[in-house]
Amino acid sequence: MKLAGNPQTSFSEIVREHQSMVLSLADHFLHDHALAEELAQEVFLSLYRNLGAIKSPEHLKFWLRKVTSHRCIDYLRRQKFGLHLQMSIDDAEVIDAFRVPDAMPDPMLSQKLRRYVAALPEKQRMIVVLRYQEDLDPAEIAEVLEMPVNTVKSYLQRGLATLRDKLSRCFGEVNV
Amino acid sequence: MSRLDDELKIALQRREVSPDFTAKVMARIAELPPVPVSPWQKLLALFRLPAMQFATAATVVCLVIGLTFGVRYYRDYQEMRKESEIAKAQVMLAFQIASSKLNKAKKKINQAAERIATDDEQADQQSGLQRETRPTPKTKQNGEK
Repeated sequence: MKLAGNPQTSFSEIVREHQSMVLSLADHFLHDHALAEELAQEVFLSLYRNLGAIKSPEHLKFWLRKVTSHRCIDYLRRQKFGLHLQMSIDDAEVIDAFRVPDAMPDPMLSQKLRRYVAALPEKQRMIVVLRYQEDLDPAEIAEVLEMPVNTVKSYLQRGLATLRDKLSRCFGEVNV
Repeated sequence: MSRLDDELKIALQRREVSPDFTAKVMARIAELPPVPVSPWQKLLALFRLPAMQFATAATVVCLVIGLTFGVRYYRDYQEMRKESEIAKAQVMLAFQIASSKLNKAKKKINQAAERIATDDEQADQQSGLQRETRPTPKTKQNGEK
């Protein structure tokens, strides 16, 4: 992709446009704001190096989602970080880092949901985040994560079942 | 869509980013060491100059035109060659036919000539015999006397 005008200014515009998506993906997945920011910066540095390979704005979006997802999963695998994310329900410290701008109908439920999502196995977690943060359908998620559509569907169902189960246990017989 | 879907959409909304995030990224980019340029990349960079782009485009256009005409000329040449081969084959066939006809005619002429020769010989022989058997006019005249 060719940057119009000053390359530095144009690239900063690209960063500004997509930073929310990249950072939120990493944040929802890693559940660590500082770490997510570091990873998001790495993703943009990688984009700067590979800008020549980007063909269109749609490709840029796809590339960012794909690289962020893979980097998050790789990071967890390398650091064996997954164990740290199996949090206890009372762990409120991390939740404070998660401030969503819009007013939510049930903040308590949203907080719990984010924590339960962060405790899912890595692939299920990334699929759930891509499905509900980015509003991608299973076919699009399969393309981003380079896995079969049926696998994505099955991971998504399993993840949702786990979340439903945990919420029912937490809130009693809540219709979720 | 179930309530869980709705709640997940709300819970996993995109977050707001700190205002200095872009500045941080740009600062890290500024710190990046310059990427070593290979000779191949330098050569490629030459072709990014407007004059070189024009020259490349002109060369490509010339090549395309040349190739088009070349291909057409080659096709015409091939076609002409094929036609000449066919004409040559036809001429050869005509020569063969004419040759066989001439041979036949020659044979017939020879046969006719031979026949005439033998007829002449026979005629000569017959006339020779007649001359021998016929009395000479002198003796006849003497007898009459």
